[in-house]
Amino acid sequence: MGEVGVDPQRVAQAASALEELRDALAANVPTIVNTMSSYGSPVNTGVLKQAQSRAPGDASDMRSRARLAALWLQQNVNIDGQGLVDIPWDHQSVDAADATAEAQALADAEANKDPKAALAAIKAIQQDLQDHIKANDQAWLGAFYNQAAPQVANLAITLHNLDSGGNAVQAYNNRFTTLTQSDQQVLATFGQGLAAADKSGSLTPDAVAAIANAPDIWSASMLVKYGPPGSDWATGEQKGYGNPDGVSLLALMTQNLYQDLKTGNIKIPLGPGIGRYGMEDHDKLGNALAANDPFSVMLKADGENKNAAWQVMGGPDGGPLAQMLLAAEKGDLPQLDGRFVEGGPNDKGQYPNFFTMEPPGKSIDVDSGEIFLSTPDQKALGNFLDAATSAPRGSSADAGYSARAAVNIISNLLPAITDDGKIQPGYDPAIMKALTNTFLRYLPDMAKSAGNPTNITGADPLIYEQGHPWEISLGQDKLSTLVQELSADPNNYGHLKGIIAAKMGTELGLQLQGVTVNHEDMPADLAALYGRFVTEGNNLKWVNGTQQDAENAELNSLISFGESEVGSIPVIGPTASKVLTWDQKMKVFGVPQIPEFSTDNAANAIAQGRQEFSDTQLKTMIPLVQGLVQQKIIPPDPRWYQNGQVIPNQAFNEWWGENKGLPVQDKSLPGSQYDHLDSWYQKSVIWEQLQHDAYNQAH
Amino acid sequence: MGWGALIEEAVSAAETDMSRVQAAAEAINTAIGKARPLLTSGTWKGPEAASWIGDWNGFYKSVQSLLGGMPAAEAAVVSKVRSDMEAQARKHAGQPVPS
Repeated sequence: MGEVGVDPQRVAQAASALEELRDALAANVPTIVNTMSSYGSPVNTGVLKQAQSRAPGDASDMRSRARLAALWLQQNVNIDGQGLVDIPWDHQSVDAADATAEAQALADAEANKDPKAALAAIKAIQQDLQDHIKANDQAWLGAFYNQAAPQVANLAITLHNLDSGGNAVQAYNNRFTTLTQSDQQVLATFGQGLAAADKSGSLTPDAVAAIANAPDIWSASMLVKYGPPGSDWATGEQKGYGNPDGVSLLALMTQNLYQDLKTGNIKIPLGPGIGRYGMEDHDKLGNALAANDPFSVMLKADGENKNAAWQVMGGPDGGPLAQMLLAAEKGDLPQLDGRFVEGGPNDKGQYPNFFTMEPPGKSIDVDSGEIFLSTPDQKALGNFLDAATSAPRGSSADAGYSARAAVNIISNLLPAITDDGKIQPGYDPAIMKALTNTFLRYLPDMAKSAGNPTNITGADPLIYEQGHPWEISLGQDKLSTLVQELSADPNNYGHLKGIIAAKMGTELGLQLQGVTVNHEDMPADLAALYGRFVTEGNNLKWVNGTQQDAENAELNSLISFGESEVGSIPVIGPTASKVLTWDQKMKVFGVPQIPEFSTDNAANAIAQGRQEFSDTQLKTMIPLVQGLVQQKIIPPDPRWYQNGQVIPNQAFNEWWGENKGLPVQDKSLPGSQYDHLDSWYQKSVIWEQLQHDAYNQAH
Repeated sequence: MGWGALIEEAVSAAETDMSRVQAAAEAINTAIGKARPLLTSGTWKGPEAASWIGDWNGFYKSVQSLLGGMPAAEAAVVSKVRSDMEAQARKHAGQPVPS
């Protein structure tokens, strides 16, 4: 397409006039159209609606031409002898040229020694960027970020350095300010545009690398802090050098953040650098640094993105990162993500305009200034860990990341902590929730690890299953630590035991129908896992009364537990169909529905049950009968079976008394072997009495 | 209220609405008028720009033509409201006025 010579000033006026026209049409056309129509006027207002529709495009194109002409005038590009600038005219070419010119303008602004001019230029780019974001102009956004990525990554530190801090009094008052309100708004726009270009797949591998490998990763992370939530960023990138698996930009940034932490390459700028901080500044200083902790920023965004979380924790740095975030490095205090150390590497703390983030376990120069311990936001960390193991189970790459993430997390847990002889959960509730969810997502793997004691911990694709789904195995010490941590909260302990017992009931129902799990002894494995909980529970010294909480939680869990889909497993047919595939196993034994707790119904059911039975009886009868009902071996009676749940009331007691002699066939054995319902109950009691915890027997 | 007052009330409401329509039309006309002098060969040189200006001018002439015809359309609306109301009054002469 040809070029047009434009007068930059007049074309800018034309753009403003067209924007005014666009706004006038938007404000007035509906009044005319609706009013005339309400009176049944025959006047044809179609052309007005057309005008309202075309005006935004005209205005936006003209603004792009004006912006391009102005930029080219500044950059001495395509200027003819009459003061006109030759620019392309058609929308596509103008957009591409404008994006290039804006990228160049950003580079020029960052290099500009005049702070006022530099800030004005950045604000003008922000305005143009905002227009293109509003117009969802993916071509422009992609073109801009692919060219400006290094400068965009550097923007936060540039803005910080451009802030003068004002006069002496203002500078003193701004001594905790990293980025002004105005800077934050600029970064919000640039972050929003970057996320949009990222999510649309417009970023080249080079642009991704320029952001993720930014020389100042703190600066790059501020685009995430002030940008949109992690869910608005891409879940993966084009594969390229340095990113052979095509993991997300957020994951790459987090990985590089960790690498930069190890080399002491993260610097948090603070204030205009007017002098040393005093003792009176300590608290505010600590808060200001914590608010700029790039780990908290990235963990929050990764957790919101989910894919980024599992790519990080299942990636090459997942293990060391988990060790740092959940345990401790090189004997340092636990769960630190670093120390903020005042002053630069060579200034011995004389210039307080930035704090270096030193990794845990590294000794600090005694001549440094103030030192602040940094612990990442625990809620963000909990959400991040929860997301890291949340990829759907199966054979996919995502499933592999999450499986490795689960192993990395569990392998780096500290045991529950002891306080005056009482054991308590060692982590924030958000992290405990992540651990509980991880346990439930990998329940069959946990059972297998308990039933087949080994010292090997890892995540591998199962080669004997179709598609090679990912599974994890835990060494006994790792499993014990996890179970102990989960059991340190008596409610959680009871809840998880209830789920495992319910699964055992399901397993018994399937076994009696002759259905087995491929290559596995699921009953023994579940019993071993149940046993491990009892073993670790016995080791815990709960405070008075919490034992009862655990009992209540287990019964609540058992009663509330309903597995409506279990009945869909094929149980009739030739022998081959009675072996569960991996997918069927996961459907039956994996990712249980978490029951609702503390409902009046469950509490009433427990109260009724305790009038009829002991807790020991209830803990065995409920899963046994639930499993037999699920498999249609015994018909449920609506007097004691409601909403898919066994209610151990008086009617149940009467039913049990009348039916305990009921013969139940075990189809898993050759021939027609029957046993009475009461015998299966007695067997289950023995089963649950934990003769199967091989780990306990050996230790 | 008698039929006469009712007719005047309806006409007055229509006149108010039509004056709003006219104000809206004038606002658009003004904005077009401000843009037009800037969209000329004094702002740019080149066949593509000239073609774009031709298209823009052509289109907005039709918009202005419509807007120019609005006073007549507005008057027709007011007149029709009056004649409709008067027809109603004749049809229901002697009957109570609807409230």
